[in-house]
Amino acid sequence: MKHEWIETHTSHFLILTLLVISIGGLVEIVPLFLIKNTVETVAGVRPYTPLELLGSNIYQREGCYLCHSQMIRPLQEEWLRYGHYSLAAESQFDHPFLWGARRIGPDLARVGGKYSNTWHIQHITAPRSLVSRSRMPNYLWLKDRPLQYSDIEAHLRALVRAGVPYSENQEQYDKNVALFGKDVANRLVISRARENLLAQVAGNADGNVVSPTEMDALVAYLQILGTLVDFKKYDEGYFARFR
Amino acid sequence: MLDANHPMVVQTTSHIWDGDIQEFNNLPPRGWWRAFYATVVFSVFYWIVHPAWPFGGDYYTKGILNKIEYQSQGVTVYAHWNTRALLLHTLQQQDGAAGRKEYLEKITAASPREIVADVELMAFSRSLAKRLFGDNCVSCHGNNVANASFGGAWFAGGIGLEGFQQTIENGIGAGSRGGWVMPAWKNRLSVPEIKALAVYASQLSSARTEPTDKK
Repeated sequence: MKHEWIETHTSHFLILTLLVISIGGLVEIVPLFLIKNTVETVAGVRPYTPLELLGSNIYQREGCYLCHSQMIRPLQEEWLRYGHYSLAAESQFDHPFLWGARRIGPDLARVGGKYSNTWHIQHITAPRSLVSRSRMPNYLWLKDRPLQYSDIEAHLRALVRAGVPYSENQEQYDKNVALFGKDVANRLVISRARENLLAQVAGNADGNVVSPTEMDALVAYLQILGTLVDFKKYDEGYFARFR
Repeated sequence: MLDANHPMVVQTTSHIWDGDIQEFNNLPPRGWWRAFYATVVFSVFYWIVHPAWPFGGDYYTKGILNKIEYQSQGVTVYAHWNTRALLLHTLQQQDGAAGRKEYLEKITAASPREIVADVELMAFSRSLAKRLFGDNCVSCHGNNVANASFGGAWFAGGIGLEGFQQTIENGIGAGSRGGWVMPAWKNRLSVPEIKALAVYASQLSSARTEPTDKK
């Protein structure tokens, strides 16, 4: 094959470049699709509630993933600092997943339950008031901006198309009851999304249910991260057997 | 083709830009070329030794010669190479792991007061708690009372060693409106870790708030 044939025809050059680059990706990704054990069998992981989902959207909008990863690797140092390594099963309902690669800030995969709601609100608004050497920006607006949730049903329906089991009819609801139990299944009903969202806001720090803020959603999302799997139920070698 | 036998012959890439601009088709330096072939040879070796090729279902080549040994529930397990087994192996069999396990068991069995009384246990407990304090407590309590940003009052002390242990275990304000103020660390930390932290925090507290050591 002559250089000329490739380099003087953009289409040839483009197709061959894509072909060569895709090999690297395919070799890494395709095996994981073919092996059943990739996603571990584990109890407790559920889709996000409407409020948590909107929190995740705000997390993405503000670009939190640019500095915070959500992926604890199976290394001793990370085990000691952050806790149990992340499982594939824990992000099975994430679209998109927010594993991230950069750690300008700490990993957040298990931040849920580590700090109180009020701590999070102060920290997100003014990080340096709590951690003097922090490089995180002050997200001043989240506390005051009203949460837009009028389109929550559309968000949930979009995720249904991606395979997340929010329920639209009785059959899907029954399936969710079998999968997650009644309490969780009730929070995954699309037609009750607004009602569920407001009910969850009521448990938040300021107790202001009338006008939920973006902060309410973001904090609800942070508080759920990494808390769904009860690792005490599994012996130490259990998750190694999925590799 | 250009090769080692025809070093002086330089071909061009055969197309001409802007009327007269041509490009030499030189080989890369020989060392680079050798390194490239070395990576190809290495990849074959790597496929054989490490888990590599999937064949559908649960079967994939597991690699040879590099089994990892770890203990799970008192049973020795041999696994094909993978990072999760490697982590267990490291935690269980690295230098000092046996001693660490022994001390953790001693701390689990001892009361906080007994830990304080035992010089060796105290030394171990301090070094364990120092790291845990940095990872988990500093962000609210600060590393001294002057920059205790969120939970300063906690350091006032006066609740005794057992009080510290109970507070760390169960947190503060569970079930109140707006959620807890301090998390229940029994969900995140092990029993010896909590005890070590209780002793560490109580000493830190008395050192900060009362210059003269008081029992």
